[in-house]
Amino acid sequence: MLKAKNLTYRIDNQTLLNNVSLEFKPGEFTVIMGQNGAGKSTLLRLLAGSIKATEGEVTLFDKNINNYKELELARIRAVLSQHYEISFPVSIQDIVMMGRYPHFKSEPSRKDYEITDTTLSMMGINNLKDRNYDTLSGGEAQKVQMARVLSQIWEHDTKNSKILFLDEPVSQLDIQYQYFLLKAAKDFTKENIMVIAILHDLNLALTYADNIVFLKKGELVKTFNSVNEISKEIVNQVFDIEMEDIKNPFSDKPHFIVKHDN
Amino acid sequence: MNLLKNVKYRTIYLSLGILLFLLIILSTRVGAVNITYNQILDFFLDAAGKKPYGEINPIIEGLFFQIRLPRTFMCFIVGAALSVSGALMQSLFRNPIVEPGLVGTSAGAALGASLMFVFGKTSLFESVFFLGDLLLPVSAFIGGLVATIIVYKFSSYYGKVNVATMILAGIAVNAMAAGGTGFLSYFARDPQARSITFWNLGTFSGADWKSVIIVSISTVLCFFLVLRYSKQLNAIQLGETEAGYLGFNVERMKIQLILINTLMVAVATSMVGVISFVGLTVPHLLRLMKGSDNRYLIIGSGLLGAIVMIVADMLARIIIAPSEMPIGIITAFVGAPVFLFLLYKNRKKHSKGGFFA
Repeated sequence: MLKAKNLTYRIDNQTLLNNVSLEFKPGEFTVIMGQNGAGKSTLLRLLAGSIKATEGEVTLFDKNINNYKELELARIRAVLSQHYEISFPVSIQDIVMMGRYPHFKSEPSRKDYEITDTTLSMMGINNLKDRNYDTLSGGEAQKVQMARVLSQIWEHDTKNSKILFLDEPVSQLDIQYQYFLLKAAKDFTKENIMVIAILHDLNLALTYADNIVFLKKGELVKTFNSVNEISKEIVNQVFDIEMEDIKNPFSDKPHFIVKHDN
Repeated sequence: MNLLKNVKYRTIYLSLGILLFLLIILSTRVGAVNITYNQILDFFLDAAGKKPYGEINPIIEGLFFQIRLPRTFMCFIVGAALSVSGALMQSLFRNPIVEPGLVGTSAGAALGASLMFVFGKTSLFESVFFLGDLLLPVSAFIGGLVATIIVYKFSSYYGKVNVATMILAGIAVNAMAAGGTGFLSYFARDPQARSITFWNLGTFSGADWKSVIIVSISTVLCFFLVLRYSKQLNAIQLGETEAGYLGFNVERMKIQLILINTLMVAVATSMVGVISFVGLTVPHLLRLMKGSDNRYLIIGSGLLGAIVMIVADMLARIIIAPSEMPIGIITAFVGAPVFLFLLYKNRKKHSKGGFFA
């Protein structure tokens, strides 16, 4: 269980996040949405324990996240970012093995190799193993990174659930990869993994999310535990653009399109 | 890209080690006076108290043990130190065109060392035995650290290092430090410290066993410390935040590595002057051979750096024998084109604008 209690984050007298309280449960896919500058990334970094809240606290399994050791935290939560720039030739195998760094001291064990093999095949990129990272397309590269972050939290022998953060993971990918990656993330929630993602595509979010959190100007607007309750009024308010709800004929979920002459 | 993709790391280390051993022997032979293999064997037999096969020439024996041998070992250690530093800095700043000579560490250390040459030796410290020997490396360390911190502060913004700015700041700091050492060289009484070329282009001609031992201690210590960071250095290739998500304290690691790096470079520089481009070239050759794993780069840089420096020093002695030229001339001739090649290869990244490391 991951809880945010009255989180406020200020930097240089600017309030990036103001008094936000949230709860995340294992096995659920939560999407954080909002305009640019709404505080989504700040919230994600606070929840992932990479920055400290000015006020309020984040607790993970009833323990303040700042009281975890870095390595301890790295074994239970992983973060996939939008884009990685790597200056030197590194093989895919080596990149994915970095996900196992929190788990071994100097040399990877056989188990570490098994895990990276598993995650590589889950992403369907076992054949790329020996390729250099800088020869990959954007979509392939993001699959490699996904395999890496999965390797990081891939352990069945602990009781506690793991957390996967996705920080705009698909913003630079084509449609096929967007759906592939989010479908994969959604599948992991069945393994009791908690997925928390920042997405910009509202309809993509509606397809996979169990919960959607709307932020605006650093404040929590509303959390929806069922996407069917999301109305065009709230969407218009959050994004400051007029949208219309046409039902998705395949899923019966809401589907929003931008009004023609905005 | 990887020429030795299917060769095991161990095989590479072993081959480099053998090559290094052969070069060490070869390097003690060549110079103004050529020494034969038989003579070398005899010298060792004589030193071990056994009866040599031939006649011992005590002058050449002295030349071998007191000049050639320490000089070769100095090349070994300094080459390793500068190359490991290059590998380390390139990984830390996530950019292939960084090395201690470019970002001011070496020049700052040279300034610190020359300050000590001018003021330290004339002051009361000289009377305190052995402190005098340690003061030089210590003041070089302080100089190198100050220069590194200035360059780093100018080029980093919220943890991101802009390498274009870093190199520009490096030029400024290098110029200031070189100006300082040049100025001080006119006041120095020590004949070596009097030479501006020594500080700017380096030479191994002054190497003796005492300085070899001092540089060896700092280099070996730093080498094994750096080796412990190889996983962190790999992880930081993903980005500093990402390395943090993998459980590493990046801020702490950066400070520790900059300190280790400065120590290694400063102590070497205080003894042999500023030698540029070795630290740039060696890690790059290793990457061409087989990938960018930092454990491999660090061990490989130790070996290949030593090899390159020994070869460069031999050339410096041979080309205009019986006279010799500063080694920095040789390393610049080979290293600067490599630098240009790397710039050329990375120009796509430059054109994107930011060129953030």
